[in-house]
Amino acid sequence: MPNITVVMTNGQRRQVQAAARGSLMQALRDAAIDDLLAVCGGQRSCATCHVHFDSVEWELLPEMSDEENDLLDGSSHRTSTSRLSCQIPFDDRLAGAVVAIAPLD
Amino acid sequence: MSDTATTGREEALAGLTGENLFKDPYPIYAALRRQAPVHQFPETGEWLVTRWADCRTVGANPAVFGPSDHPASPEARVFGTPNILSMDGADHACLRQGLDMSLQPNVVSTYIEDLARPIVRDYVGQLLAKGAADLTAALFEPISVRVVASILGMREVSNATLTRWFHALNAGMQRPEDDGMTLAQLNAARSEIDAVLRPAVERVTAAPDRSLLSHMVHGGMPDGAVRSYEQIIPTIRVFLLGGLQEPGHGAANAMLGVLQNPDARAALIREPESLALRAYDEGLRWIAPIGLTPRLSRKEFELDGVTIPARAPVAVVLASANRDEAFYEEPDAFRLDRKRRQHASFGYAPHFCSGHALGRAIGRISIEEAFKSLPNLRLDEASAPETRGWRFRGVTRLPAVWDA
Ligand code: HEM
Repeated sequence: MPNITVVMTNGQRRQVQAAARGSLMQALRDAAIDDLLAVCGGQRSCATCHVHFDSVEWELLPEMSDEENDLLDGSSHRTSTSRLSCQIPFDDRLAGAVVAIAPLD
Repeated sequence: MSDTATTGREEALAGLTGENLFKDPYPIYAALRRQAPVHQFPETGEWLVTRWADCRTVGANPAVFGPSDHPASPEARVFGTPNILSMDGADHACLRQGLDMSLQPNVVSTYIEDLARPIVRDYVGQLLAKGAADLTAALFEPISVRVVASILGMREVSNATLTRWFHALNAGMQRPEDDGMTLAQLNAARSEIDAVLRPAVERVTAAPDRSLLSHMVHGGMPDGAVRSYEQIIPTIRVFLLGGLQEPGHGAANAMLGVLQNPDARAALIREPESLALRAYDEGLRWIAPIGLTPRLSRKEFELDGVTIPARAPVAVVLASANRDEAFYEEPDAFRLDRKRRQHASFGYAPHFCSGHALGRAIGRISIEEAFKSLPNLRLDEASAPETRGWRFRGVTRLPAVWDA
């Protein structure tokens, strides 16, 4: 399992490694990063697990569905590097990634 | 909507009675958000939390606000415990894994068209020649009951029976404990439910399949281990009450919003397929079918300068969060052209509604088919719609007419 760097909403940085297989959202929740609310629990039904990928091989990430795109549109913090972390598997493709938690709307 | 901008704290609190909330909670919530956003409601002892951000702080914080599992609560009495709503931690997550196997968005999308579309068309077809109907009772409620009952493995049980069960459970929830009549009805309904479901659960225990009941028995369990009937029946009762009814109330709420609003109505008549889901979602925001969700504080917690004590019942008022002017523009208006934003009507993880994808699909198909098949669908000017409730709120009567 890869190591990633997480930038919290207050600017602090933390290293996170996943304890089990699952999504990036799950890994962040398991690491007790409470900034990430994930109110729907990973069902692609809210936008509160929104992150910005500051450094990653962008084309390695799974493609964005229309539903994810639509949900992200509802956020005033959307940028070109926005994703919902529940839609990103936590695997080797994330090695070395820097992931910033988007502020809540 | 009354103008509450000048109402003082005292005045805001004077209006706070169960009776007023039942009639129309929204002006009261608006006053509370402004004047007393964290406030203990004397009639029930619950701490009402009414602002968008505060609701999220309480609802999505299971370390401080656990599920409400008081054995004397109406929920415990009617559903029995432990049920999915009262459970916590690893046990909750394990059962939830079983429920999600049938109800996650990507699973629902594999079966919902084949299941729901024919049922919806059948009910709409039966109405067509009539030219007028109460859409809540004649369309949205029966559709919701039929679809969810099928998913629960109760295809053979009639709507009349399911509705009677639902009303008995509902009455048990709303009435005081010592009402002998209600209790007798509740117990009768519970035995009838057992008579249908116990054999069904025994069947899927012996021969697992891909049904929701089967997933409740086997899902998330270690190899060879199963949940017994006694372990899952409280959660099945949660489905019977919430699952059967809420998608229909959501559809009625959305339909009222659309029919009252000429632009929205014209848009739905033009483009039922592409706008039905948007209308349903805005309806859920505008009138949350489940107005509040309960939590219990595990320790003292300060919110907006108010200290909520430990072991206190807290009501996360979803209906109020959905109308918070700090989060939505013109929150009291039903608007189809809103930028998509979340609403609070499905609550918060880890208890975020398991049935949300199913409920939204039922609502979408119901609204789409109604506009496709009932020409020039409009409100019946001779008969007023009726909306009531606060813990649960729905458009209980929606008289409409169309060109037959
Ligand atoms: C569209 C209408 C519906 C609405 C508005 C709704 C709303 C809710 C709400 C507010 C909660 C509590 C969330 C919390 O405490 O944070 C909930 C939980 C739940 N709902 Fe729904 N619901 C709907 C439809 C359904 C359907 C169709 C089903 C099942 C077929 C269902 C099954 C459940 C279950 C099992 C839970 C408990 C989840 C848990 O505790 O983990 N709901 N729902």
